[in-house]
Amino acid sequence: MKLFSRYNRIVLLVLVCLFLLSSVIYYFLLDYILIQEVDEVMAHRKIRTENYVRATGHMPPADRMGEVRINYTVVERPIKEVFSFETAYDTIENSAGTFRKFLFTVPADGQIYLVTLMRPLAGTRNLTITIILVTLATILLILIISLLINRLVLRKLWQPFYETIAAMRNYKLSKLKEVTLPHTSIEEFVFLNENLKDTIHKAEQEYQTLKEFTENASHELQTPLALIRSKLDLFIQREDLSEAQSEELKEIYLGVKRLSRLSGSLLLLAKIENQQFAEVKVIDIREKIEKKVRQFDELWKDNQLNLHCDLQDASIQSNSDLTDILLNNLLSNASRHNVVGGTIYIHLRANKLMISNTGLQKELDSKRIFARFYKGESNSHQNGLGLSIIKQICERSQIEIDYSYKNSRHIFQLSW
Amino acid sequence: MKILIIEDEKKLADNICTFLNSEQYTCEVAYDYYTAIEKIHIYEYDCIVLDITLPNGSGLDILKELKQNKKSEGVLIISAKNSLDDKVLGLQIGADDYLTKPFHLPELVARVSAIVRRKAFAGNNQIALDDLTLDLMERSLKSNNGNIPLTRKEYDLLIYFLSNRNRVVTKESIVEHLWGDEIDMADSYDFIYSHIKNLRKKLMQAGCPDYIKAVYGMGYRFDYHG
Repeated sequence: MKLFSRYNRIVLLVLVCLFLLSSVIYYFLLDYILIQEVDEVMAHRKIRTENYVRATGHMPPADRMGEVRINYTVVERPIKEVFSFETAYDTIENSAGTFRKFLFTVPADGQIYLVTLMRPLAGTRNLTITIILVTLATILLILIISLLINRLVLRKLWQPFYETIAAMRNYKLSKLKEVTLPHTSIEEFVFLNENLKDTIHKAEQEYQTLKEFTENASHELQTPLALIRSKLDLFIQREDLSEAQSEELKEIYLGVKRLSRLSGSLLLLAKIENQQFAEVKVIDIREKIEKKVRQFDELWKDNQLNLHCDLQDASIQSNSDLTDILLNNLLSNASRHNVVGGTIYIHLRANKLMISNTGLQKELDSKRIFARFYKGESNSHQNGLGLSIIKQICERSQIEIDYSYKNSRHIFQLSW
Repeated sequence: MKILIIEDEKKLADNICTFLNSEQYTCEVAYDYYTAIEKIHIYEYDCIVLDITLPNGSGLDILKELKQNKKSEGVLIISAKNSLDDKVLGLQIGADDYLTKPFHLPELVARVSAIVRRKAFAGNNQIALDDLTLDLMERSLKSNNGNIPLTRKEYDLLIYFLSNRNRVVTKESIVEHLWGDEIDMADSYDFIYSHIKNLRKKLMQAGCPDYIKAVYGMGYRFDYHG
């Protein structure tokens, strides 16, 4: 749920409770005050009555036209004054209504008079209700307006946050483009943006450092190898080499090749892990496989390997160079670990690629084959990194890879 | 053909030069940026082999300098970095080809030859091989009696041999030239024997002497002094 929705909900709940509570208190308070007013007026009347009796000795005439109903009765004893509510028939409202009753006694003309004053409260009650309704309406208006303000203003206030998110989404480490974060005066977002910039800066530095390392390492490793190989290429031009010497030179050549391959593979792994192959696009796998098959075709024929190819259209979102390396390694493995007269099967569907080959009559250790430098029993010339590279590429491209051994075939299945 | 090697590893530069020096090519070296710039301005070359990881100035700067002065030399970039960015950038600035270290010297020579041939296009798209003619445009081999059909691999192999004539080339370098160095599927390179055999047969059937000599344990040598 969005932040301001949740904030709204809480505030709304609290406000509504608060207002309901205060409305109730307000009602009773207002009622009490208005009744007090009524009582005070009637109390004044008592004082005026007493003054009149003092002045004239007689009770004042009971006014029939006033709002207050007045009644005199003679009683034997004086009583303490009493205020109370009474329900009686209201001739104006033409229904039963509540009255405020005031009883008090006044001595006059040698007798004790009991004065009953009754004031209708309909008007007072109406006033109270009107006041409450107006108040509630005002509260409702305030709530609605605050909701609207929340919606409009908060949305605008959150703008910088959403802009930052959008900028981060478009940012790619290897592209090395400056990320432009929105300018804002809101403290929290300034804090967010500054920290983001710092993190990005650090990540970029690390990336650059690692990239330079792999490039320099490559240079340092491959240059001496280039030197050795170039010397060998010159050396074999000599006319006076014996057969034994030629054999030895061949071994040296092989050693150089293995070293070169090894350092290339290690550096490739480092580059993959360093996200140096971040550019992805839609790749036509069928086309790539068909091209690879053409490249390998003669080699397979020369080594008496048969090919069974079953391709349907398929595509994947990935890095083009990595996909090339992936296919190269898979097909090279299928070729190298094969037997003379053996077969390679390629089966391609929209989300699945199966490459399998005949070869060693024993299942490989599926738990360990993808580990670096793991080599099976044969093929000590391979550096054991081929499958690690395949695994890394699959992980980067969100491809699942599985090994199985069925019907005397080693099967590598990729799905995406 | 005059070739300039710009490479800061002195021994490597010298090795390349020694290998190149023959009836086909003469070779000069520059070990650093300033010497290279000097030589480029004073002399004309047919091809420049340029290492882009020079100590006191990037090789790419030399490349830019060449292009700015509208010099017509072909450029082959050699680099140990195998960096895709460098490769793309180099080719964009105007290099003709890119080769990663460590390479086979015959491979370097083959690429230099290709660049030189392309540059000298105007007059020279045919190579004479005794009575035969190699047509580089059509990628065909002709004798007085007509066309000698060669497969693509046989044609590439012949060009490779001719570029590296009279030098021993290893089977390994032949395989890498014909199939690229990413495809690593064989421990032995003996399978190329059939291709060599077929090429040899076709050449001899067209009346040529047996140019291709096997060098025990190593590879082959194309003996031809045309």
